[in-house]
Amino acid sequence: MNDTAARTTGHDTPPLTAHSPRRRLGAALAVLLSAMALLFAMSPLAEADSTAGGDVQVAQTLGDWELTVILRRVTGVPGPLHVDVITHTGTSVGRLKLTVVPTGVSTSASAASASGTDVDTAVVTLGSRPGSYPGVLDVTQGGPWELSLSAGKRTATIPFVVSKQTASPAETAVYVGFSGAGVLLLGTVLVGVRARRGWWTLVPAGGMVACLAVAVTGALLSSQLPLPPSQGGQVDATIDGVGDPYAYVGQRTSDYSRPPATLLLSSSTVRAGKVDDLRLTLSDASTGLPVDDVVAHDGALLHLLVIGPSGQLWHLHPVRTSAGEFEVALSLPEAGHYAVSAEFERRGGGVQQLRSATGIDAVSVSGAAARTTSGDAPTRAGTGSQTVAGVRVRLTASSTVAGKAAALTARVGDTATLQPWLGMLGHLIVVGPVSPAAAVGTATQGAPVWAHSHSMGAVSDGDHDTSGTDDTSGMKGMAGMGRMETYSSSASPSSSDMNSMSGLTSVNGDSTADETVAAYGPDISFVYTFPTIGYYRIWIQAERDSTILTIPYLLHVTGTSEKTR
Amino acid sequence: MSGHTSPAGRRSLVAAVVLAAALLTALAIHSLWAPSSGTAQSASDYAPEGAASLTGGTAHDVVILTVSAPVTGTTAVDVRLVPRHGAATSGSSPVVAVSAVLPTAGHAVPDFTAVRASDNRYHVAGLPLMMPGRWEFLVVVDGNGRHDRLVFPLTISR
Ligand SMILES: [Cu+2]
Repeated sequence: MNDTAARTTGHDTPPLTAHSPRRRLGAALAVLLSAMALLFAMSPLAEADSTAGGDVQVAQTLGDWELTVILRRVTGVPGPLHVDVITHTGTSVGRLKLTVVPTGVSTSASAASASGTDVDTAVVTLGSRPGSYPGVLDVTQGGPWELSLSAGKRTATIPFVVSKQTASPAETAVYVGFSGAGVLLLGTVLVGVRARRGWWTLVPAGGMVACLAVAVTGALLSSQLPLPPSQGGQVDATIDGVGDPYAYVGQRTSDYSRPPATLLLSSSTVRAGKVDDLRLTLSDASTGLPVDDVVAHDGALLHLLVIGPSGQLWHLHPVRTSAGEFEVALSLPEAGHYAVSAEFERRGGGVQQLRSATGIDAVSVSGAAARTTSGDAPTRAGTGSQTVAGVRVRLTASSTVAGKAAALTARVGDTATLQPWLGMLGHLIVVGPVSPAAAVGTATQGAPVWAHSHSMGAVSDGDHDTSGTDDTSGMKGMAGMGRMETYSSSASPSSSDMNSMSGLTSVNGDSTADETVAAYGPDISFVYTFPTIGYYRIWIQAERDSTILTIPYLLHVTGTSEKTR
Repeated sequence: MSGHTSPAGRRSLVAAVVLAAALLTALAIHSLWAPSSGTAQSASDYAPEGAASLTGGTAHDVVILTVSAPVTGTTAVDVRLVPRHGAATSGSSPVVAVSAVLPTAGHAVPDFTAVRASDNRYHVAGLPLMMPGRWEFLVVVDGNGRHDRLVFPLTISR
């Protein structure tokens, strides 16, 4: 025993005393245990940075409902898909039928056997109180799916992808390598203790070294290897591709973008005062085929902006009815011209803002309750205070000079009870330059600039004390905020002002708070550089008390450093 | 102590073990980095060698698309419809049209109306694929009160 144990350390080692094998066994076990501890410490890391999709938030204007549908992340298949339907003030009571349908294709006939069929249904009853109404559906497999929402004769379909937690080859190497090394370390110890000839230990020891080399190589490479393209986000999702994204990488390319699209309206004439379904067709600008690869962007598949003759703004989210077809129920109150634009993103990247070349003309019909609205379009340019839906709003602007970043800050109400809508605390729509006297729908139809900016909270502009937060809490609000970088590049009276930002944050790019969290504001800031001089119509949108407030202003953008108040 | 093996022999043994370990490492890394390619696994019983076969479905049918030559050039395409249980199978057979699009490039090929080869099997003789890329094969099934449009994503690698 003594002789055998001595050999394990090789010929350089002096002979050992009788009790030393046990001591060495103990030392080896300690090494083994620490290696196992290292393995377990490494293994969660091996799974953490695989493509873990967050929640999908999709606003839907279904009939007269403005709903926010949140598809919570599916953590395992088969498993539950939690769907939260968030309603707003004024939502009528009703029933919403949810259905999930797998839509993927596969090289395996059995994997795709359920494609195109209803796998599960659930009914969500929406009450009169604004809030979150949950539903749970079972999804059976990874791959592309469709969630359909039916209310009466209207059906909306939302494509989504159920992804799987998959380890990259590098992560697999780390895991397999450390596992193998652990097992072989045990083997080395056993052989070392038992074997007659010391060099036998070299066999498992060599294997262990190989396993460690595999693991270390994998660990070193895992952060550097490119991720496979996102299934459904960058490339068309298939069942096989979701099951093993690394096997279906195909050609490496950095550009997955697709051609622009064209926007067609089903009808450019509607009846004023009546509810009419407006159908929008998106077609590929290269092939003319339906654009059926719209992905959720800024909390909706499609954002539709309609601007009316008296300056009304509708920000709606038409529902997808089939490939490239969207539909929204519109009730245009008065006769006149309405300008229309749509924002969406195609698979492969690139947000598009399309303006309808025609817009919509609403005509008076007998019997319809057509009316002329007023007050939505400010006739006097400038910032200042106004009351919208009982909420006091005060707008201040650092300056409104063409070509210079203007910091616009709106104080909406007096309490920090704003809710994020579409993942943002505030939305700013800018259209201009326009003639301030002209009918707004007609003027905005021909306006050169249509812009849509977002606010994730308050940013100090130097003139306006945004909040009482000290520097450290301001910095906390900034943590992990990739989006805030847009501010740092454009808003810069002084760099110390950056510290007073606070607002909606997204840690590690994960999902931000949804509308059920009413804890933000009351200040929301936007930084926008007006490209040219002239009068601009702007609308600020924010959510408070589950009501989406739309606050119109008319701003005069000058060419000199002179301020417009 | 050193009675069994000479130091030189032991050194060569160490070298051999190290070499084996290195080879094992290389093999492991290679096998992990080059997973089996996912093409040409036939889901159809009559697919020719090298063909890519994809299964998808609608509420009415399981639809099996077989692309005979999934490479740049002209390929035959077969579509097989397997009616689902409960779906009406009576009436005239539907019209099946096949097309292909390379969305990133904005290329499309014309619509080919598939010729009914036998019961539930439809054939297109020559569908041109201009270049490699992530293609979408579009199958439209029309008739018997249905209008189904199916997209089969398929990578043409060369
Ligand atoms: Cu929107």
